[in-house]
Amino acid sequence: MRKYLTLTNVLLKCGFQMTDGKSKKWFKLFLYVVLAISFLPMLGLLYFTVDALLPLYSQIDQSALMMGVMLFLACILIFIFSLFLIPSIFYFSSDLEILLALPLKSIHIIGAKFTVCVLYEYLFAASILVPTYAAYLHQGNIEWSFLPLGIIVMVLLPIFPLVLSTLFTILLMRFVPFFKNRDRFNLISSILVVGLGMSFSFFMNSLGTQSESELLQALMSGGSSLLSLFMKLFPSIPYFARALVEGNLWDLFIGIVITLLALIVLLSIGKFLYFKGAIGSSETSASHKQLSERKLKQLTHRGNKKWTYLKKDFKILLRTPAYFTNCLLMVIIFPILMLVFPLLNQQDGLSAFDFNTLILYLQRMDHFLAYVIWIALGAGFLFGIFNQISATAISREGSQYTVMKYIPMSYRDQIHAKLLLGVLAGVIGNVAMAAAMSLLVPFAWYYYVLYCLISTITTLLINALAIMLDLAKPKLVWEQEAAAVKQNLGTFVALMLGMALCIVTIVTVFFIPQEWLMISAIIALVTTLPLAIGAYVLAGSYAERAMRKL
Amino acid sequence: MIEIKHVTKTYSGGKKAVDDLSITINDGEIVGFIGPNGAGKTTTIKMITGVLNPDEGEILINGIPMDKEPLKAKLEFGLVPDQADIFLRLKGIEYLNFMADMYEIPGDIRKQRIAQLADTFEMNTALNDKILSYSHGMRQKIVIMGVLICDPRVWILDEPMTGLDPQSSFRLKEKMREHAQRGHTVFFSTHVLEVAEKLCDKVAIINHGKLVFFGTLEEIKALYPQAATLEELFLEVVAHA
Repeated sequence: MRKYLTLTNVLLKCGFQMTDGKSKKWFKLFLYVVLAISFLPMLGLLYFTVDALLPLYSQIDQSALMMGVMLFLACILIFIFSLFLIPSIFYFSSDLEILLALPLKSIHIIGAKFTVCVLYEYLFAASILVPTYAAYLHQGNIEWSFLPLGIIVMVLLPIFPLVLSTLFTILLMRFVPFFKNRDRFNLISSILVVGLGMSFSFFMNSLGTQSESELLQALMSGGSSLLSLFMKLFPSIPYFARALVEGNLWDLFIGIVITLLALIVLLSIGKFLYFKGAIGSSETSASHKQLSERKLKQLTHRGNKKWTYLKKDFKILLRTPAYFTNCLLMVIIFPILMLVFPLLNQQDGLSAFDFNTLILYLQRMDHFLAYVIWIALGAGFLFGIFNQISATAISREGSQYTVMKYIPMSYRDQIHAKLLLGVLAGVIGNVAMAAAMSLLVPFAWYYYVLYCLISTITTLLINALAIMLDLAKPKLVWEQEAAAVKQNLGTFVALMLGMALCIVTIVTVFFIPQEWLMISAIIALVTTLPLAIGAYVLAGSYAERAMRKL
Repeated sequence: MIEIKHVTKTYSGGKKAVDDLSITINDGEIVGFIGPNGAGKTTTIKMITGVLNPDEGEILINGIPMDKEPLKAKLEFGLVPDQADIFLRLKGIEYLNFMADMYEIPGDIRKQRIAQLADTFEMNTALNDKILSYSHGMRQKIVIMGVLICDPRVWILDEPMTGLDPQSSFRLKEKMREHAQRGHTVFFSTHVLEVAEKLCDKVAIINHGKLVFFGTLEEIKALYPQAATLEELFLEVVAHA
């Protein structure tokens, strides 16, 4: 027990950190306050949704079902996100080699690592359950025991979905050697998670498009089938839901027993299988093939310094699963989402609008070209920053940032090469978006070409701003590559900046009188272009100063 | 030639990592840089290579001031850092080509050097694999090769023998001798005193950021005649510093 507690303590201390470890306390506090504030809209949305739907469920005496839906939502989110977390903590963390060599039982390592995961997942559980509990409290009709039981349920809820994903990972790593390659595992699991996330979002979306009466009908007829679905996936949910809403302690007891049983199963299976899977999990494989004379000549071709640097960064982005999924995959996924969702909605007869009517309406609009210019400027800000390549350009170097300092290439050129990669990905995103749009809304081709050209200007501007932000405060201390992108305040700020500029640009259109639309669009275009070029030049000069200070 | 003139570096905690250090390493010399852990060796190397800026003093590489003309100065040297985990997702050949492009080495020359160095360090079958799949020693070799294909006039090596197998270690020492014989400069840090004893023309001993000895082995032996080996000499110098 003592070994388990010591190990858990150490793992927690080495684990999750948003800052670089050198930041001052006030900065960390500020960071957490900013994060908490940024979560408020989502928490508010959940609260108002539950608050609005609860009377509907109460009418048909199904308020436990509403609670079950929210617990299910928390469990499925925890399950999906833990598919990423579990392998990285259990199998691919850098501490594993040290832990395997220490006199520890597999149960100590599994227990400590599992505890760390559970603690991380409380954030997800709380973000769903706190607004849900608040809505139930607001609507009244609950037992006195609601709050204490609510806390117990919040503590226990993440355990079952985590047991499921841990068991899944342990079995996969033990019996499917294909997944022992860290890069391969991360890439496939991340694509799987994005797919699951999209399906889940689509499922929730389709629920949202049903009318109140349709939803009521579905609940009246299918309430029990929904409950049985929860039962199959997460059997503790119906018991916890009834315990909370009806104050039934017997249900709570059954929920606790199911959770404990799941834990015992995990520890028993893990005891036999964990070490066998963990030993020998490799980072990557080698071919050991000698290069032919022709290939060697081809690969040793002399290139332009900036282009070589850009290619180096691109290869690293492409080959590092964490960067690929967070930076490059988004460029591909977004246009696909643009295409898939309206088409699926159309097939289901749930289309919110008819595209042909829309095209006719838009093309008859006065100043249509002006709208294209304004929208392109706004979209360039958003889709230009979505890939986060520039916003993490220095952070991704991590401890290797020193290489940037000693190679004989000016900081200006290095930063411009990094910036151009971000812009290039942004432009590809814009072009893909235009291509997806052209399939949905077939306007004249030159509008799309214009859209691509104009959005490139704001894409350059936002990327230059993002790289300067990263130069000012890069996150260089991290253990796993994902932290450089995901646990980085700079990426969050850059994304917010891009979104804000996009919204401001597009909203501005509504305040401009019709007769001024075209002239204002041209003025916006003419001022943005030198601003973007200026920002590009400034990023280079700023790099010279900022890099010297690093 | 490396000229370090009255260089001082103080870290944010107030600790002087390097204190008024002055050394001149002439062309044609191999100089070993030795000292206990935390003595200031890596900080000095980082300042020479432009990774850190000195608070005081000046550093010149082949007469080019690092603070005023960093890019020109960087073209003069090649660095093997103490940490060989560089660009792990690149293939060995891609890393070498990247370095060659940085140092503007013509295509035919780099090809010839890569082939030659791959033979020397027995890396022929590893060049087409990602550096991530390499052992610690192989990563060290690819970083060393990255410097050697660029053939800069000044070699700066931070613990270059770490992780190398005996053959590669022997060949690197040979390369260092050849480089110095061609009138170029080799400056390297090491904890292996035997290497310093057999390879160096001069040694620089640093302790608590201060230079406590700089000269030939004969000179240091004359100072401490009772010491039989460089190990004993080193302990004497550090103890009396």
